[in-house]
Amino acid sequence: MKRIAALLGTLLLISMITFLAFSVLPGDASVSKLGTNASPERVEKLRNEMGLNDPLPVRYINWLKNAVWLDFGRSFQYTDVTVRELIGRRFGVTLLLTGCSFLMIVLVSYPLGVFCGRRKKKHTASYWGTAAVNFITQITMSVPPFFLGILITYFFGITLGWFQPGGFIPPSDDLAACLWYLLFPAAAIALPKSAMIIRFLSEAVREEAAKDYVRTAYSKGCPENRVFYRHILKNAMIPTITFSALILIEVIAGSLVIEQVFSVPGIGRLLVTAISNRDFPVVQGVTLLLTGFVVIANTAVDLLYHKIDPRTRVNLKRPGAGGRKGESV
Amino acid sequence: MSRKIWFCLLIVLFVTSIVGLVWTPYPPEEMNLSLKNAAPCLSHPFGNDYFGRDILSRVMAGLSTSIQISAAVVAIGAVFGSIIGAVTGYLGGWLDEVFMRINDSILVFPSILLALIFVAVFGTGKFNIIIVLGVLFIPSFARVMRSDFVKQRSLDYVRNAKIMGAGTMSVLFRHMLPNMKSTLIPCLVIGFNNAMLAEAGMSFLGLGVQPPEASLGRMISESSGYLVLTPWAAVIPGLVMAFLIYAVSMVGKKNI
Repeated sequence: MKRIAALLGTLLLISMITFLAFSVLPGDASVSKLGTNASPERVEKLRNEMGLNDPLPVRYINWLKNAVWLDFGRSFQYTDVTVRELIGRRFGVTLLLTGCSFLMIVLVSYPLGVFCGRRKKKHTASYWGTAAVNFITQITMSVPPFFLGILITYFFGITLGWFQPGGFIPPSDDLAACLWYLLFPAAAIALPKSAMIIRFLSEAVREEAAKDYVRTAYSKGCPENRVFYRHILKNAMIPTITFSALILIEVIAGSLVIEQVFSVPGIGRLLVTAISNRDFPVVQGVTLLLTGFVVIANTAVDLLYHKIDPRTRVNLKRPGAGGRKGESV
Repeated sequence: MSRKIWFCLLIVLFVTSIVGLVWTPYPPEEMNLSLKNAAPCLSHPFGNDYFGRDILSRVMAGLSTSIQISAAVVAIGAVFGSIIGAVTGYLGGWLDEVFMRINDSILVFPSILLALIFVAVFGTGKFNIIIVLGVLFIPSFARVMRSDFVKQRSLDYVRNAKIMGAGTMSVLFRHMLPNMKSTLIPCLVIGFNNAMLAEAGMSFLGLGVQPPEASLGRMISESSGYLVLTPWAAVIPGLVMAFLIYAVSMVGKKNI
């Protein structure tokens, strides 16, 4: 309950900042409607009609009333379309792209992270495999994601001809072809993020493997695989799942840029074009939608953490976790 | 051993960028239509782009722009982050509470999203991008530095300094800050790389450095439409950037 209240408070604060930031800028709906050549009297009249001369708090309340229903007014640039329609058309595409990408990340990084985290004998095949994965993750993390997208376009699109660069097919026309096209931008987003999760998971596994309870399990005679999958991995997965949820937010941020590389008509492209064209109602709408999503996702991560880690549900202090006197833990 | 090699390569890249400030083989913004889309050759080792501009010259100029921006961004983040971290971590109390709340709520958002929104409000350009990214880099520095100040404030040397009559400012920045090198340096390295990536991303979207000025991200973006004709124009600046980021992380890694 407390969390929900905090969530609503944050959303309200964000809406206030978004509204204020864009209301101090020059240029408003009346000018975009009448054009810059309109006489000052006409502009003034329209401003009165549209309520643009009202005091700021009144305007904010009016704007918020509509924004709650995802109504952000009309775009300055395409005056016959509402912002809601503009966003609605592109939202599905971005959702599909981020979904593909996140699925890819999970499928690639969890098995590889587990593989890299396991203890190995030196100079065996899996030892060199781990070294290779470490090397590749370091490289993918150094390459800017959009450049990775360009390399993918060049190699798979132009050299191999597996897809046509810039030839996005709307999902309503042909879903399979659309998914095939989205596979490549999704990979460009997924690779660096998978590298991060592989690092995180293998590090978590190594950390858990060094703890006392693992030695206890071994000394009880527990077989190696059982210790690994039932004891170590279970504990290592708790922070990894939370981390993956945070990566989901990063994936959406990544799609803002990658959509530009592959000309995918999603939210990111809408936002970037709207910023370049100073189309503020659209920028406001997309901003509010994305920041709102981030805040909600974060609250969900917190709740998820409580759900999957049984220790956080018990109010007992763990033995050894108590701090020194006078220090809060 | 391999760290030394990366260190030398890093020096080479930095020297190239400094040279790029004062001298490039050709003027980086000069268009020469007779050399339009020319492939790499001896006089133009990296080739020419769609406008007939020499890629080597542009990479040199762009490298220095990108390094300047990243360094400025990290400097802003580190200086203000350290000050905030020092004050909140050392003094604690309600100030700490308020600052860390704000900090955490900024850290929740992906920096590219916030940077896009800031740029939408304040406008594009090299100077704006430095300010915007610099401000966005403050919270992460503040958080790391704060935890170090909290850790060290009860150590004996801090107490001794206080007993010797050192003022708060002196304790914070003359006594404590030099002891935080091991925390600050890795942060600077990671921050530099992140700033590099963020600037490149913004310039790639056309919201960072404005044409005709060269920055590595800008160059990739300009040439990405001509991948079939001039792949080198997009691939070489990207490789240079990836190389720089990799080298910085290799050199910084062992310093911890």
